[in-house]
Amino acid sequence: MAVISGDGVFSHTTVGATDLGSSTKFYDAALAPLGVKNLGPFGESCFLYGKDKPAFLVLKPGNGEAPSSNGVTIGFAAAGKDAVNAFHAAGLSAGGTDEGAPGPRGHLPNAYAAYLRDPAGNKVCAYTFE
Amino acid sequence: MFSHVMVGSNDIERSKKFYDSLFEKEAAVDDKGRLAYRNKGAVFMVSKPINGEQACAANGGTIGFNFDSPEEVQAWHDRAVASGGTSIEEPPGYREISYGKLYLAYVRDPDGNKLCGLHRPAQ
Repeated sequence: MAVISGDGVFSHTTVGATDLGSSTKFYDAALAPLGVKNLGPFGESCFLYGKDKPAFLVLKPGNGEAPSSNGVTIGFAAAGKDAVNAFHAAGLSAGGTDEGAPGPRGHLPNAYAAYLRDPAGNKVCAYTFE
Repeated sequence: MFSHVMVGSNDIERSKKFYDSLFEKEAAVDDKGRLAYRNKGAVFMVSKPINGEQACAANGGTIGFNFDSPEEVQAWHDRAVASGGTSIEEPPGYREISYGKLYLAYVRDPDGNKLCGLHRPAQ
């Protein structure tokens, strides 16, 4: 398997999971419309996601404590509005929580986005400018 | 793959000083006082949490940045430490993991957000 490497300035990002099963169920569904796949487990407490190389890791925090954050958002690039809509719908049906319905985001020209929280409470979103 | 990543701050001025130094460029500040650093089509942002509560680093969360050489990773790490960040984990260096060799450095920003500098040598 290729070494971790994202396709731009970000090499990778990770989010914590309370329960790997519920988090991977969520990300398998939500990220599929964005072309991001579950590339399988890495060790016993981590799953790798990416388009072809691992770039997004869902893991049990190394300190054994619960995942938590306030102010952190991971944004995923979407190919168009349909992909943003599909991200939001699929994530909601796979254990996610709504944090912002699909629609234009007026602070940026042509921005269209949707926000979710994963089952562990991490905030994620999909953005397109198409 | 990533459009942007945002982290929370409890002191935007402190964050701006840290990240301006870390990224060697001045943040674009929007009308909500948020910091944005654009690079290679992606954006790293810093904001006070919109719920008005204290920013809290993600437990289990890390944001990794690509670099073209070990020297760039080391310099990035050293700028972080000199600007209010904290070096964590092992000192910057090569790590062999099961699927390759990486040059890695880990720091926390002044609010505790965990950042990683990464160089992937030609394998």
